[in-house]
Amino acid sequence: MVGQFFDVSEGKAKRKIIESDPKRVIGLLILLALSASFNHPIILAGLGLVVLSLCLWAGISWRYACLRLLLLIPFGLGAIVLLPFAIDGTVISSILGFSISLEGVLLATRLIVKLVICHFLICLMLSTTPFTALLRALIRIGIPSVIVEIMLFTLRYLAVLFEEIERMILAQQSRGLTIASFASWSSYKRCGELLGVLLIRSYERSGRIYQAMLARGYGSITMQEGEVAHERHSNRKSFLPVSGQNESD
Amino acid sequence: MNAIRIENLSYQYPDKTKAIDRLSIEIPIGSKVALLGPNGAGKSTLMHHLNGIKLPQQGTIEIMGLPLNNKTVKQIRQKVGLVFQDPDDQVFSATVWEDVQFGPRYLGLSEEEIEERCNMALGSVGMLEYRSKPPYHLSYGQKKRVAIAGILAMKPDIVVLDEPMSYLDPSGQDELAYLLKSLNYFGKTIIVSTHDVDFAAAWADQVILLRDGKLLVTGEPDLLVDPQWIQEAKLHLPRIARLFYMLPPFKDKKLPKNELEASRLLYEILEPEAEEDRLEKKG
Repeated sequence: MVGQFFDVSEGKAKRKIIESDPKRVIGLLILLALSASFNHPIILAGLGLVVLSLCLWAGISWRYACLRLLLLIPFGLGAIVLLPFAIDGTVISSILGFSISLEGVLLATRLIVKLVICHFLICLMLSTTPFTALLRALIRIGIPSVIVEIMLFTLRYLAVLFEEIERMILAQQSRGLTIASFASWSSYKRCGELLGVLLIRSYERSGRIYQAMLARGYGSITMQEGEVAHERHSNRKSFLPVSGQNESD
Repeated sequence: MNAIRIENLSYQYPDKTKAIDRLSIEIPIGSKVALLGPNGAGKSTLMHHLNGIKLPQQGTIEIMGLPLNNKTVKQIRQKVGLVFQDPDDQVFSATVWEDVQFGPRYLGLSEEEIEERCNMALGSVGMLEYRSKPPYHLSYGQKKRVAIAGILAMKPDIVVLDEPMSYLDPSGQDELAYLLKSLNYFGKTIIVSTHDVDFAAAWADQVILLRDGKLLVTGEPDLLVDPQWIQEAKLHLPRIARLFYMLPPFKDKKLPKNELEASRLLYEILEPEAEEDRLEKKG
């Protein structure tokens, strides 16, 4: 099922590191910020060691973490391959007349190390924190609830969107669309039309989702009133739609 | 008291399409109602009115004696639960448990009450063991059940379902029909919009036929085996009635709307004396 691809909490860790979800999320986000900010090789090596130890302690699935590493390729590979050629400095080698600088190689290495550390930190966070708990923790640490809601809806409906694309492509294939014909101008035009239809369908679906939310009381009290009512009973700050207490709590 | 009382309801969309035209209906408490009509008859628009998603432009709607307007819409939404046709539109949270909690949380209930209601709702649709699953791990029928649980958790008096049988496999349809019957048994008024005449004839105790936004006729499910009304409503006879309609000996008899009535009719024709005896004894 397409949706399983989006199950970010599939790599379940054996230990949570810190019991409280918000504290764990804050701790890992601080480590993330540090890894992104520091450039000194010794500090980066230290951070790498800390992250590696945490991953080992938590017992994350290495297969899950390494497979997800592939997702970094489109973002990191281009910059890393080009940097040694693009940065001026001490020339250490040359390929096809293009010189490779030592400074470029060091910068590219630093970038790879930072990307890998951040990647394992994210994997650690997703493996130790169920997705709904993560969203609740984000609300608790002050991320605006509208942003968290957008994250939730994006994740929930990406799977639906991909299934819709799959159905539309199948329907077009059943009427003659072939992979080979993608090279033609008319196929590009058809892809554009497909995206247009997808946009309209998504827009219409968003209207229906909103109606379904209204039907269950959304908007009948303001978010703030809801928070007050909810707080009164539960001392929990989040409200919608990541508000619920997960059974894992 | 009626669960729903609609008087002279009219609704026109911004593009001037008249979706509902001077509609008046009464639905008693505890009834099982099937709303039928061709596409564009105004079924969905009417259902949106029952939950207050759309407010009457003309006419009045009373839900459990409460008039529907801007001030009462919040109370109305607690009394009427609306289950949408596509569960992907309705089940929007990250997990089943989160989704069922959505409605009760907007009622400002305590954590214990929310937990109790969600357990009850998921239990009654047989989905309690799936509580921590994300919706995209569920089959279409399971998502439909979760959508219904989300409504039941709000403890509505009336449950309105838009095309509940669509895309369900036959066993899913049977399970849903059973679920709807049991909900009705526990006192809920159930209103179902459907094109499925066989289901409506077997399940409903009141049918409402709409066409072009107007009420064609309302009454007992026997209307669904009346060829004249069926033709007017652009529907077709239930399968079992169609079979009897084609056979000359039954042409002038009242057509059966379900298997039980069909077997009685056959018995009456094949064993007329035995049937007379049975009627005499009954009399």
